[in-house]
Amino acid sequence: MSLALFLICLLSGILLAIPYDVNDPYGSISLLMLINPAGSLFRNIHYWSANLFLVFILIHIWDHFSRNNKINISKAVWFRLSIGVLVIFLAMLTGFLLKADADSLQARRILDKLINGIPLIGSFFSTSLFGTSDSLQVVYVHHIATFTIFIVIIILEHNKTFWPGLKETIIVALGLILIGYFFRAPLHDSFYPVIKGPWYFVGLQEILHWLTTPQLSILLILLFVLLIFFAPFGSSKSQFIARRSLLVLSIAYLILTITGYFFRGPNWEWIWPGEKNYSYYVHNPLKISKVVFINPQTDIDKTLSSPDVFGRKEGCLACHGQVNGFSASHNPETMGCFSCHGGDPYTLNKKDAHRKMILIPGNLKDADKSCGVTACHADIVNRVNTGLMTTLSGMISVDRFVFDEQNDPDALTTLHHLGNSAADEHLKNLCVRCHLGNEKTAPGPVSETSRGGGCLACHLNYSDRAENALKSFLNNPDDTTYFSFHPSIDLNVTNDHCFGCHSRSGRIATNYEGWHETTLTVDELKENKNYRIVEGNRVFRFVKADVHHRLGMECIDCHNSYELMGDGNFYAHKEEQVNIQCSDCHFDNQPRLLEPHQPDNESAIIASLRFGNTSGKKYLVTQKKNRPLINTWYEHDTAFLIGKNSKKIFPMKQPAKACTQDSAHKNLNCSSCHAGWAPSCIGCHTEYDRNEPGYNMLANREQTGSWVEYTGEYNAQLPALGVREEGDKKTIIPVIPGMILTIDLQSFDKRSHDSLIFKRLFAPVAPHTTQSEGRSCKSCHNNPVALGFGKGILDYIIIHDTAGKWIFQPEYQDNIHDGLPEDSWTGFLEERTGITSTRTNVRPFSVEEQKKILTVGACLSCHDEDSKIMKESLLDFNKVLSAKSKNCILPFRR
Amino acid sequence: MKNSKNSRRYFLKTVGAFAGAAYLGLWGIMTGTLQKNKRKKTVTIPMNDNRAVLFREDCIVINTEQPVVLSSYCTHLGCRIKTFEDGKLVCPCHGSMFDLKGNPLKGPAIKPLEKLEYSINKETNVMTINI
Ligand code: FES
Repeated sequence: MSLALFLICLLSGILLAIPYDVNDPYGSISLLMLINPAGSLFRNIHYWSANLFLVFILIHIWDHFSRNNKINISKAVWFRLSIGVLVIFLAMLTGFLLKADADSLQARRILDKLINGIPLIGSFFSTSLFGTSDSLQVVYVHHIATFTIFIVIIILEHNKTFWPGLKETIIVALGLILIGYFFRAPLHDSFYPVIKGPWYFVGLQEILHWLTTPQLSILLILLFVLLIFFAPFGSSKSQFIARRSLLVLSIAYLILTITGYFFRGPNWEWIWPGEKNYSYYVHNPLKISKVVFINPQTDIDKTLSSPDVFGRKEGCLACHGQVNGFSASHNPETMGCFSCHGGDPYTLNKKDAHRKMILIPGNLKDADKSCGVTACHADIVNRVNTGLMTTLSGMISVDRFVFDEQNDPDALTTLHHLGNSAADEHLKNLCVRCHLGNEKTAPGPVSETSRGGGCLACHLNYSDRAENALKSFLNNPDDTTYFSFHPSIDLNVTNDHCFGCHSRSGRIATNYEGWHETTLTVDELKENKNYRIVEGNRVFRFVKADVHHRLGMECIDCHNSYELMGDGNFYAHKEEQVNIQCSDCHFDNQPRLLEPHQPDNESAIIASLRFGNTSGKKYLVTQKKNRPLINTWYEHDTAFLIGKNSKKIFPMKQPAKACTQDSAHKNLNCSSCHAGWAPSCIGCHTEYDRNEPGYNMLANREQTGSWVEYTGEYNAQLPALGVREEGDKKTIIPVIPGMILTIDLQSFDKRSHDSLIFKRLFAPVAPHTTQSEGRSCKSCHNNPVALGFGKGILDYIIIHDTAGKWIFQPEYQDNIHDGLPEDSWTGFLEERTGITSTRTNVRPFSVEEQKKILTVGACLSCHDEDSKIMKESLLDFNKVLSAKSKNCILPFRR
Repeated sequence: MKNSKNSRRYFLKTVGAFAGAAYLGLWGIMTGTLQKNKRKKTVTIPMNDNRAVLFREDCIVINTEQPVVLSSYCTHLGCRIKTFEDGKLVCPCHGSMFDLKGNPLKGPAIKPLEKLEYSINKETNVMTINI
C-alpha cells in the first residue's frame, strides 16, 4: 500500500512540476486551481498520497515494534532507515513550503531561524536545506530530487523492490482520484488570522510555544530518531526502554497535535468547539470543493486577464471583473472580493465559489471574517463589540432598574444577557432594535428605517446608479446591471446614517436638525410647512435647529472614531463613552494641542485618508481622554475645524466673557445655558397585552403578546436642570423627564404582588439644540420647569415690608402615587432622596440650592437681567447683597 | 587478505570517503558563496508626520517623533509580525507580544525585536531602510 502511495505521489509530483513556477509559486498554484482541472486533481492527489504515505510509514514502524520480535537488519541499514523517517518528514515539509501561501511563508521563516540558531553549523545547514530566504529554488530541488532519491534508495534497501502490486496500485489510484476530486489540498491567504504548520508539525508548534530556546526542539527530534534507531538493538532491557519511551513520546505528541489543531485560535488564544467562528479559525484541510471542469476558451481568458490580488488569482474576479463604485481603499483590483465576501476564490464553479459566501459583509456576526480580518480592521471590530451602540448597557440597566429588577441603573451589562424577565421582555418588544449587532439582511442603502448592520450602519453608501441598479434588479432578477454597481464602503458617514436610531429616544438626530416629535398622526396634519413626516408615519414639528447644523456641520464633525466605535472599554452610559466636550473647541485661553507626530495610529490613518498629507498640523485634543480631533488645527492663534465630509472650514469661536468671567456659574455645563430646547414626555403608562401582536427585536421575529406603551404628552421646551455629582465636583446639567410612568406588572405576571410600579426619574440629556445665545437668567431662576417643579405659576410676592415669599401653583394635578405634580422632578422647596434619575449620580436641586436660585430669582423679579446691578452680582453676589437697599426684600433669611 | 589494508574494498572506501569529504567541502563553498552573495535589501517608504504603525514584509515602522524601525521577524522563531492589538505587536505563530519599542511583553520570545538602521531624505521625505 505504502509503495503504491509513494509511486502515485511521485508520478503526480512529476506532472505538477510542469505548471508549477518556482518564481511565482503561490500565483502559479492559484492559477492551476482555477484553470487547470487536471493539474488541480493531480495537486490534490499528490497532497493526499503524500500525507497517507506518511501515515502508513508511521503505522508500519509501529507495527515493527509492536510485534516485539527482533528486527533482523544490519545496524547500517537500520540507521539509514531511521534517517529515512526524518527525510520523509523533510520531503513533506518542503512540499508544504513550496505552496508559498501565508502559512508556508511563516513556516519558512521559522525553519530558517530554527536551523540557523544551531551553534556553529546552523547557517551551513539552513542554506543547505532551504537556500536563501528570497528563493524557493533549493527547497524545490530537494523536494523533487534529493529527498525523493533518498526515499527511493531507502525503499529499495528496505523492501528489495520498488514496485507495488498491480491490483493494489489500481485500488489506491482509484481511491486517490476520488479523494482528490472532492477534497482539495489547502492554500491559505494572508487574511486568515490563524497560522498553523502542517498537521504533523502542529504538535511541534505547541512545543515551540514553551521553548524560549527553540533549538532545543531539534534535540527532541534527534532523540526521536535515536530512539527509533536503538529500539531494535541492544539488550532486551534497553530495547524495552527505547520502545516504551517512543510510545510515551508518540502519545504525548499526539495529544499536543490534537490540542494545537483543534483548540488554538487566532493570536495563540484557546478556542473551544462551539465558540464563535470555531470552524473558521480551526482550519479544516478537508475542504470539500470538487475539481471543476472549465470552458477552455472563455474561462482561461477571463482568469488570465483578471488582476493579481495579493500575489495570486482569484476566481471571483474572472466573473465579476467589471464592477464599479468602490472607494479607493476597497478596490477589488487590489483586495479582491474574497477578503470581504468569503466564499471560495479558487474555483470557477459558480455554486462552489458562492458557498458559505457572506452576501452582506460587515454585520457584526461575521465581521471578524470580513472587515475584521487580521490584515484589515481587526482592532476596530474588537472594539466595536465593547461600545455602547453594541452593548446597550445603559438602556438595559435603566430599564431593569425601572422594573425593580435591579438596584442600580449604572450596572454594566450587554444585550447577550437579556433573559425573559418583565424588563427584558419589555426591552425586546420596544427598545432593542437599535444596536449595531442587529443584522442587515437585505442589500439596499441606509434609510430612516435602518437599524444596525454592524460596520455598514455607518459606512455603507449607495451611489444613485447603484441604488437604481438594485431597484431594477429587484423588479426584474434578469437585469444584471446590478452586478456592475457595488455600493461604496467608505468614511463618508453622514447624518442620514445616524438618523435611523438617533431619531428615537433622546432623538438627538432630529433635535439637531430642529425637529421635535409630536403625538399627531399624519391624518391630523393640517399644514405641512413646519412639519416633517419621518418614515413610520411619525410627525415632527420644526422648532429650532442647532447652531452647528445651521452652519453645515455634521454629526461626525464633532464625534470621533473612539466615541462611535468604542475605545475598548465597557461603559454604562453614553456620557462616559463620549469624549468630546464644547470646551475642547470653544476653549478659553490656551488650547490643548497635540504635536503633529503624536496622534495615535488610527487617528493618523483616518486623518490622512480624509485630508491627504496632514503633516505639520497641530490638532486639538479632547480634555477627557486625550483623543486628537483630526479635523481641527491651530495656527496663528486661531483654531479651525474642517467638515469631514463637506470640507468647509470654520474658525472656532472662543466662549463669551459671560461664560468665562462669571464666578456664579462656574459649575454649569455649557449646554445647561446653550441648549435651545429639549424634548420631554410625561405621563407614560406601560402594560403587557397578551393578545397584542408584538415583535421580538432581538430575535427579529413576530410574536403574540407584547408590552404596550401609552404615551402622555410630548413637549419641546427649555430643559430642566439638575446636579451631577462626581466626587466633590458638582456640575449643573440639563435633564428631561426620563421615565415618569406607571407599569402594570400584573398584566405580565399574574403572580406579582406589587403589581403597579410607579417611577419618577429624570434623565441627563445632551440636547443637541445648541444656540449661540445662552438662555436668559429668568428662564432658570424664575422658571419652575428649570428648577424641576414642573409647569405652573411661580411667583414672588411681597408679604409685607420686610418679607417676601415664593409661591408655586402647578399646572398638572398631583400624581396619586407620590403626591407630586405629574411633570415635576422634585417638590417645590422640598427635598428628594434616593435614586431620582436614570443615573445614581444625578439628582434634582436640594432645598438649599433651590433657595439660592430663587433668591436670585427674587432679585430678577425687580431688576432687569441686563441691569448693572445684576451684572455685578455675577462677579460677587454677596457683595451686592451686603449693599442692598432697604427696598430690596429677600425671600429667605440668610 | 580479508580486512587487510590492501583490499579492493578498503581502497574504494578510502577513495569514497575522500570524494565524499571533498564534495561536502565543495557544497560548503557553494552555500557559503550563496550566503555571501545575498544582496542587502533596501526598503523605501514615503513618510508623513503622523504617528502610525506600518507593517512591511521585513520591517515594522513605528512613526513617532523619532521613528523606530523594527524587524518584523519575531525574536522567538522569526515569524512575521503583522498585527497590532491594543497597542501591542502580536506574533501569530506562538503568541509572543511586544510593545511598540520592540520590548518583549509576553513569551515565548524573550529578546527585543531588532532595531533596523534607516535614513530619511529631508527633501523627499522618504525613509530608506537597510535590511
Ligand atoms: S515566532 Fe513569534 S512567538 Fe514564535
